[in-house]
Amino acid sequence: MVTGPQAALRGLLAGRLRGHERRLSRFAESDWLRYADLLAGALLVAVRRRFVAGQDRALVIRFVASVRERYDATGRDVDPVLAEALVWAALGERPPVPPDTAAIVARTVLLLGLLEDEGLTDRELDEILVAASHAADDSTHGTNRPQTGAPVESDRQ
Amino acid sequence: MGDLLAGLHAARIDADRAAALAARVRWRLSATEDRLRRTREVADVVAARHFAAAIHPIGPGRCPARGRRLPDRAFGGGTDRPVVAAPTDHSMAAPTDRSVAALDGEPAAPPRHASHDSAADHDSVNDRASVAGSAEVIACGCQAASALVTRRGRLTGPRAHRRALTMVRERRW
Repeated sequence: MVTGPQAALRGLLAGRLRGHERRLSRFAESDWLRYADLLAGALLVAVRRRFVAGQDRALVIRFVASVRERYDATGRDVDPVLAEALVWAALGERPPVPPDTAAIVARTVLLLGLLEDEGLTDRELDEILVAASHAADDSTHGTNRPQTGAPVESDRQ
Repeated sequence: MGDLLAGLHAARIDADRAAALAARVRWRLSATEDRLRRTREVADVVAARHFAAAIHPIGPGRCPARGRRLPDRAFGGGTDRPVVAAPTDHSMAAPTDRSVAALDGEPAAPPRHASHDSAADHDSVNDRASVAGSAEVIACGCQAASALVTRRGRLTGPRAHRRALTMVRERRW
């Protein structure tokens, strides 16, 4: 069963932006929280597919610059230091970054950049989303945050 | 008809050159910004210089304000030489820069907003960021991210080339 937040994230990663925004517009508060957890989990998985702990800093800097080249048309939309901190946090080399507005933006474009570079198939994308869901469940296991989200049909057909 | 096709072809070549130049300038600005932000850790400076050297073979190092963090508006004008502006905004007033704090592993201060430019927007977003993790903040971030992704789709999608040609046609004829 695919929940609303998961379907919304999948729509974003698959390039179905209208469906993604339509789902976002229906989100309740718990859905937003779950979506943020899924986004963080997906970034965690995607970063660890590409980078390793102890990674050369230049590669991370270059990757962040490439993402900003793709998505940051004004030069102010994605904070490079914050984006790098998110990558290092996903590798366990920096403290976690709180999910504020800029961090959500940076997480989203970093995730899109990582997955775009990999050129994933639909099946691989689903595997990442499943792994992200597990990571999100693990990260929220010790908190009281509700794991909710109205079940909806998958938008894959 | 031949002149028309030749004109369109020339316009397309000009547009490609302009896009390549704009991309190169953005890369240089990114490299300059990265270099300026990293002044506390030697490894960061070295990494940023490697990156800058990779995209700018001549070698930058012409910035007169090394060691200082510049406000964002100083990185304007389409060149890789930033204009040093007076430290009038709150980002300059902070004793410890947010970027340095992040590099040092300290908790980051509320960051700037992603997609708005006005000071009022920055203030309101910083207020929201003070409750990081709330649904409202997450929704705000998602909407800003969605706007970036949509904008990129418009610029690089299959219709972008056709739209550019239409603009050229309207301008020339």
